[in-house]
Amino acid sequence: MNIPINVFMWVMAFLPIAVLLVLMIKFQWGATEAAPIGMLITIITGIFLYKADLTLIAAESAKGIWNALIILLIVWTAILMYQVGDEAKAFLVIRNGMRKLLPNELLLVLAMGWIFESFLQGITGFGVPVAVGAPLLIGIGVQPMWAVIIPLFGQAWGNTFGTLGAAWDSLAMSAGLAAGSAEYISTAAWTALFIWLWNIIGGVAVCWFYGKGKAVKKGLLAVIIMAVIQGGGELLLVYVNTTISCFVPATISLVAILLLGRSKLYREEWSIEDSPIMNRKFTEQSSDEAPKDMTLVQAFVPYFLLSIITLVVLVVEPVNSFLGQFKIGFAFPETSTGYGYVNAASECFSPLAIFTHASMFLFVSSIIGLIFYKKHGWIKAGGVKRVFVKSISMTMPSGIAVIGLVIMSKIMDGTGQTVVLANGIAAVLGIVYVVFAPFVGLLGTFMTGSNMSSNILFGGFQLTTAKLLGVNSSIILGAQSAGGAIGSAVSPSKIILGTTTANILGSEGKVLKKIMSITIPATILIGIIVFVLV
Amino acid sequence: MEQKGFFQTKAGGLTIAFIVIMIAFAMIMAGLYTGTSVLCTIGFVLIVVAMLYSPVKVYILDRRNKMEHHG
Repeated sequence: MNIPINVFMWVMAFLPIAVLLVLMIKFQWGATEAAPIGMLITIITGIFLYKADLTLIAAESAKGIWNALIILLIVWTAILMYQVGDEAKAFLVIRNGMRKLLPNELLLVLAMGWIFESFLQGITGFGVPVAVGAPLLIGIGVQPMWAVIIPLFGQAWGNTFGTLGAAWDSLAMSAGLAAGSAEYISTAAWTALFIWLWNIIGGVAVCWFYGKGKAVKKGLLAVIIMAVIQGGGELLLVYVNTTISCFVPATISLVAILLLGRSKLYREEWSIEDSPIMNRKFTEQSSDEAPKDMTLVQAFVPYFLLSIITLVVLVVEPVNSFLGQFKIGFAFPETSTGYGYVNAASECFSPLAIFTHASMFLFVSSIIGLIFYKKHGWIKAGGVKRVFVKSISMTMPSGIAVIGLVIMSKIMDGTGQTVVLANGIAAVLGIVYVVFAPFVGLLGTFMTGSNMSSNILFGGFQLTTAKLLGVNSSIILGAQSAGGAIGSAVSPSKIILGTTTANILGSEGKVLKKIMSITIPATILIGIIVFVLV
Repeated sequence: MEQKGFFQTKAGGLTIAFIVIMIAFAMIMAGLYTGTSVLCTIGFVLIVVAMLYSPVKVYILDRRNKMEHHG
């Protein structure tokens, strides 16, 4: 590779990201409008500065569309699941039922916005907790924008070891960590430790949003208990099995918060009337519309099904290996830029294992849930058609934005712009770079929408840089993945999932601005800790 | 008030843009398999055009229409 790494090339590689951020945050553009502009700039810099030909750009665009389709299948089926519940008015039943179980409104918000999302992240991931969580929170009276922000915080900690450890496995693969080796365990432990810190920050942030200092005081014990179970449990379990190190503590925390609702501190009705995140008018208006004969358990049927199907398919080995053999993928030829940056040929690029993909679990759960609700008369005549029509109308805007973002990241990667970005940072900053190690992880997830992709993109780079600088690579890799997990809270493609199901598409900039006020200081904190440690 | 058909709404327009992107994807894949760079180029141009539908509509066409109505 002969790409010149200089300030100009670095600035041009960073330009699409900068433009994306400015358009979304400063000018409040929606991601559907901002992503194509970022993509266009990447194409222009790719062709004219990074010497890519049109075939390379077209091939990377096609890879981007394929990867985006795999993500969008989850979005579409998650929205279908939401529409099924919405048509049957199950969210109103869930809201009323959970309110009875958890009379403390702050605990209710924590349960529905953090703990339930953690559980979903543990098994599914890929933005499902955000897409599913936002309407659930709206159902308990949270304002739509906050109903998107809270799940983004709630799911983030589970991004590395969640989805049964997919992102962790990709970090181990890209950094060449042999499973069970001392380096593997040490890296997993540092990753879990940094994530634990973020887990606590996320919980406190939700309390702060709900009612500033008064809510933090009331919710602190619950946050500490939940964080000990989730973050502490994960740290312990990485020494045993990284695959279940998020899912198991996330499930335990779901049970624990319901028990906590029975404790002396939280069993009484408690709320902050003028909470800035709650929509009191909505709660009062729609409380009578819930179907009287639907129980809380019945309202949760599609979610129970989702959990059971996911667990059986992913954890029961014979079922997983049988269903996992059905894969769809495309072959791509080798391409290279004028600077000799080569994209290797692939016989089956990013194969989609259709029956073990999260979208299949969501689809099957939605359809069974639809039949179940219809059989009980909770979905009226014309309701089934309405579910599908509304689902399609809701999915298209987010579809275009996700495609644009993924194409942008693929072209950046395929033309060498990502490598220039990373190398430039390391060359200029020297040892100070370690402070920014979690930012690289965050940037990767911001661009690709996935902690797993961030680890694939930057895992090798972080390891090489750590070795060049002579610092502890386990700590740097831990910071990479923890930053990647935090980045899932600011990733536009995940934010879109929430704004779509919360019906506030176009508000991504506002959401991003609010979230960045917590994620950036948290990432800096982890960076400083890394600097002190190495 | 006149009711808009689905394909006259923004969601409808984006649905058409999505279909165009899928056609472009098929053209690029066909171009890569057969080594026909023209197919790849046409597919790529179609992607760019379809992707730019939303920003062009929201920030150019709609704004122009609004200004004409006010003017």
